[in-house]
Amino acid sequence: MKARVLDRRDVLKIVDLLRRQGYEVIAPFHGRGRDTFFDIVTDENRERIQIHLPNPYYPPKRFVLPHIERLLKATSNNGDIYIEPTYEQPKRAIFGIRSCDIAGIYHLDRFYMGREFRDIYYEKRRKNLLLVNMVCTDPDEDINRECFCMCADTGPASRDHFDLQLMDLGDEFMAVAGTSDGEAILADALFRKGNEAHIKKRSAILDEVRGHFKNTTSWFSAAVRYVSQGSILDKTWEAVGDRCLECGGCTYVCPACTCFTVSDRQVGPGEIERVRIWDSCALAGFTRMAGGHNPRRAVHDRRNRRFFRKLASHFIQKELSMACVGCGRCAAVCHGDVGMPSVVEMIRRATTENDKYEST
Amino acid sequence: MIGAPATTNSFHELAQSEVIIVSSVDLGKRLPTIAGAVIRAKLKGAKLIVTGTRSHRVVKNADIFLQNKPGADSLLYGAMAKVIVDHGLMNLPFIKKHCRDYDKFIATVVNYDLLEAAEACGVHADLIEAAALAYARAGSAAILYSTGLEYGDTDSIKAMVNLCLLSGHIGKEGSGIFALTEHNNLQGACDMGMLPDRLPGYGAVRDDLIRSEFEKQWKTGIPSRPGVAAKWVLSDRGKGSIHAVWLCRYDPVSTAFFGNAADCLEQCDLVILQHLFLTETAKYAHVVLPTAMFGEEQVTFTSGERRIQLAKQVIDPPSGITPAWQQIMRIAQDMGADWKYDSAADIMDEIGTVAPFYSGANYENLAREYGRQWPCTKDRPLGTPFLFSEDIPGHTFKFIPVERHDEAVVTNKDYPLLLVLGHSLYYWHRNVLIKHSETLRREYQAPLLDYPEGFAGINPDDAKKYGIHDGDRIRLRSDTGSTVTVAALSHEVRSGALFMPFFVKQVEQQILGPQKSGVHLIRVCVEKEEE
Amino acid sequence: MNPPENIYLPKTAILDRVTDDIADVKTFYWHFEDEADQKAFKKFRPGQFAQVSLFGFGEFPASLPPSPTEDETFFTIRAVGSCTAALHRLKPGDKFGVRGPYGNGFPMEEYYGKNLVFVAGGIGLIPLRSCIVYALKYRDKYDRIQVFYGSKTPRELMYLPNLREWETSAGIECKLTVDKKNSTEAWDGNIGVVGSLFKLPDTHIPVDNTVAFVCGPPIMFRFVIKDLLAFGFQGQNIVSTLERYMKCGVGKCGHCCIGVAYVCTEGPVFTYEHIKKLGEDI
Repeated sequence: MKARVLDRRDVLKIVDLLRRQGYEVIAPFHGRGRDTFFDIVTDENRERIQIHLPNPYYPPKRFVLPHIERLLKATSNNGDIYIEPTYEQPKRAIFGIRSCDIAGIYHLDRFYMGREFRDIYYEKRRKNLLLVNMVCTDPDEDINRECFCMCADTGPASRDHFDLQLMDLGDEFMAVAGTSDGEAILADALFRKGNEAHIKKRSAILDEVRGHFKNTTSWFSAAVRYVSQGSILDKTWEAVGDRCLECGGCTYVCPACTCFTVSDRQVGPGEIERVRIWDSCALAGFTRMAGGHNPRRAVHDRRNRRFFRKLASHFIQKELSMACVGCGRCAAVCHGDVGMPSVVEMIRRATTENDKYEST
Repeated sequence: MIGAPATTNSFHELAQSEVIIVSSVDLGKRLPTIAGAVIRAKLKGAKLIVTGTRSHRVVKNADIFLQNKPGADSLLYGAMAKVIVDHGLMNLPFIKKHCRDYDKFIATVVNYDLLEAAEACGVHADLIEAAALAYARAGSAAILYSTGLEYGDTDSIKAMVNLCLLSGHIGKEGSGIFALTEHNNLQGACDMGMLPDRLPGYGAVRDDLIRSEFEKQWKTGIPSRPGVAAKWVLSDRGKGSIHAVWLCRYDPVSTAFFGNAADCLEQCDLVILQHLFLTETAKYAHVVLPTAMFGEEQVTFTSGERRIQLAKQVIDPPSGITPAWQQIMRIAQDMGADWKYDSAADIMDEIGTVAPFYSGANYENLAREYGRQWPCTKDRPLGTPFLFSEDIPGHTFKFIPVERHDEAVVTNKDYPLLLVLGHSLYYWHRNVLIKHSETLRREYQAPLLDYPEGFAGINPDDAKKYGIHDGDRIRLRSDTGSTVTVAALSHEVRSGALFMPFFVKQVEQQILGPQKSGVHLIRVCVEKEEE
Repeated sequence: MNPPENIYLPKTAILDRVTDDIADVKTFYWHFEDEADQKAFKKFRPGQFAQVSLFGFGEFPASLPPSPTEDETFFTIRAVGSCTAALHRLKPGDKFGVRGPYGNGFPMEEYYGKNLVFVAGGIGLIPLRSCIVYALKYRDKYDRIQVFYGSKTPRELMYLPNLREWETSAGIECKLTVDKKNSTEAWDGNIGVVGSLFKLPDTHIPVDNTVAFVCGPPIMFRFVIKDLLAFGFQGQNIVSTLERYMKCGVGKCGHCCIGVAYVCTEGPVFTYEHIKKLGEDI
């Protein structure tokens, strides 16, 4: 990719450029305290867009897989039924999406548009979504205690799957394009060619940033192996389940979780809408069948399920993407501290217990 | 008591508690955020002691679980106090400086006996002793209990507070009493005097001085005697004295645990209902006012840690829907009152004038960070994380002696099991918001889908003894009546106990007869009911 | 690439007639309003399923008991929830929604030349009926065809007309059983679980060059598998259709996933060998 640079003071002009081109631009903002959130950029809030800030807990997947999404309307009239799909495909750009979340969106691409069927609702939104990745470079602001994108190999700088990538080099920002849409943006006069010094600076910054990740999940790939082999004992999952409060938080903040339920709602006389809503395998009723049989009634079975779906090599091979991007949100929100890093650690502890030799 | 109608500390301080006692509340299901604070404290090295009849998720993480017989809670805490006194571990300097009636308290403590209490509670004496010593010896310790329905008998709460005063675990970070409120803004509602004998700020209606202040402020007369509690309004209309009821975002026909809301509302001349949806209660209303909901209005909530929090408006309510406070104001104006509030912020300002502990909070400063914990006053503009810190002079606490008495209900050979009626977690499936959420509705309706006629939770070992399998129809018999239900085996249920969370009123009538009601502990025997 | 079709969009279907089967179970005969939809749908394979929409109530997956060789399309549905209850309230002429067929189906062509052994319990006969009728239609393609079927009571036997036909027809051996019967019921057949039919003196189940189809409640499934393995069947020659809570039917919502497999796209038909390797208990 050809490197470009632009002045630091011009970075937000990219937002203005995109808005002029008719994009609804989503960007990150500070809320109260540690809270941060993605919101639509308006003339009123444009000055408050943040470049460096803690990654918002509410994942940006909601801009391509909404929390609640209408699928169709069905109207009945005199015994006839008229079924009408409803689509929304706003022309959108997410400015400042992190590398982990880029991997999350890529995973959703593979899941919803790959596999056996293609999901038209997802595809329409995705085709109209432009991703402007911001590389994490500020160890105090950008990197949380729970981040482990290094272990998931998704960050701090995405290698692919973005339209445009920006990186803070100091007085200047580097910009590279990942797609032709990104290239088109780089044609703007804001950008000028980068040189060797910029490339060197980028390398140096990334090297330094990589040293700031606190979470030791270096056992991550081993956990993938153990999960895929099915060799983790029930008692490990029971220990995880003992700390799980079945709140579903992990799945709702996960940028790579994809499950949903479908519900019909009355919206007018003779008119219903069918919506899909995020759902969670953490909840007991997720697999409950009519008649009462529930194959995953026990909480430790559901914990087992979550990590199997996230880490089993079968899925990684089939989807060419891993369903965990190392963003650390599950660890941040989990009441019982059984997010991915902690569970990887518990798996490590349990497996290394087998290393103990008996004295003769 | 301690003289504070609220949790004395902040939830995040649990990370500083060396010992945490969780009393008779399934935190994981009812208050998961607090359960999280407790579990994380335990993971960092806190000693976790859990008491209560039922096992639950937090118990899985406990160092000591005192699974006492139902109805024996105050015996348990009394025995713990005795252990502390016997070992001379009471915090005498603290008691001397800050507490009254210590002698009266000691006079009752000496009547408790550890071994006898262990027998009556069905808990090993060693465990009771270990728990008591750990609590007394801790540098910082917290006691958590729920102000929600079933478990809080007043004696056990008094006994817990006595323990806290005995050890001086109050007025420091991580040390105090957490009287947990299970409903959003329950604390706020109480702070605002939604109690039959209180005015906003907890002043007693009987207190002439306080009452006259309000009368001056509000330019109206206020009754000098307490009114009728909700429980009685919805049981017998305050012995027939209540003829009109105004319900603000309350759906008692669906969710009230006590009384018979439908009958009482039916008998009223006027029922006004403010709510978000047409609830079951709406069928009995003469006037229904649909109100704006969370996110559709700017409003504050006061959480269980006394935190006054501002929720901003982020979307418009549907056309024609207004906030509840505006509706109340307009009706008052139509009735001739001179109420002029331009916004909810104006109301908060007025709250500050009548409830001094809110006086430092306003919508401007509440919008920063995460609100303010009361007391928030001119002297404490940033609020108060924990109450009774040393630098507040003059507070006194009072021991409330709890006479040793036998367990509430004693089983015998003919009726060897204790039936516990009611379990407040289980009415959530009738909550109107939950009914409107696809996933929550599914989760909360599951028990009734699995057991459509309700069930009695029974310990699997007990079930085996009586030849009962999961799903079997069983008959519970007391000396006044019997009821038939379905057995649901669960390891969470204590051996010797049975739990019936659903159709409580029906079961009460069948077992106790039509006159009695509101009894939550009954001794019964159980047998399989043949088809 | 062509824009994808909308995999969630049902098409309008019209209810033709309804028959009562056993308690709470009815069979609904229907066809798509649009001829083209009906024609495309008729290409379904035994073992596939469709998603049935009762607008305002929701959607549920329905096995396809008809063989694609039969004229009528129908479902056999037990009323267990609000959605299926809504279907039960429909009258002939009423319209509802259907989309499908989904799932992998039984690869009946791969079984040409083999013996087919069908073992079903209760409403487990519903999906297998499609295979049996199909196999009888292409009778000369298969060797021996045997049906072993049982229900709790005589009143709970499904598809009685078919059963009577199969009991008396020359090209198929059909043995029936009931777990129990009360004194007033007319039943002079075998009494016992389905597995008891295997022990009858005139039962000879071939193992070589044979495919065993098993469908029924979990306990029955376990015991029948045990028996078949004891007879010498290999896991890859035992085939079943698995049931899970389903919402989308197209491998996206996640509810039906067992271990590595989405039952709605990689199943619902699985060999026992595959079931063992799914990575999760069924």
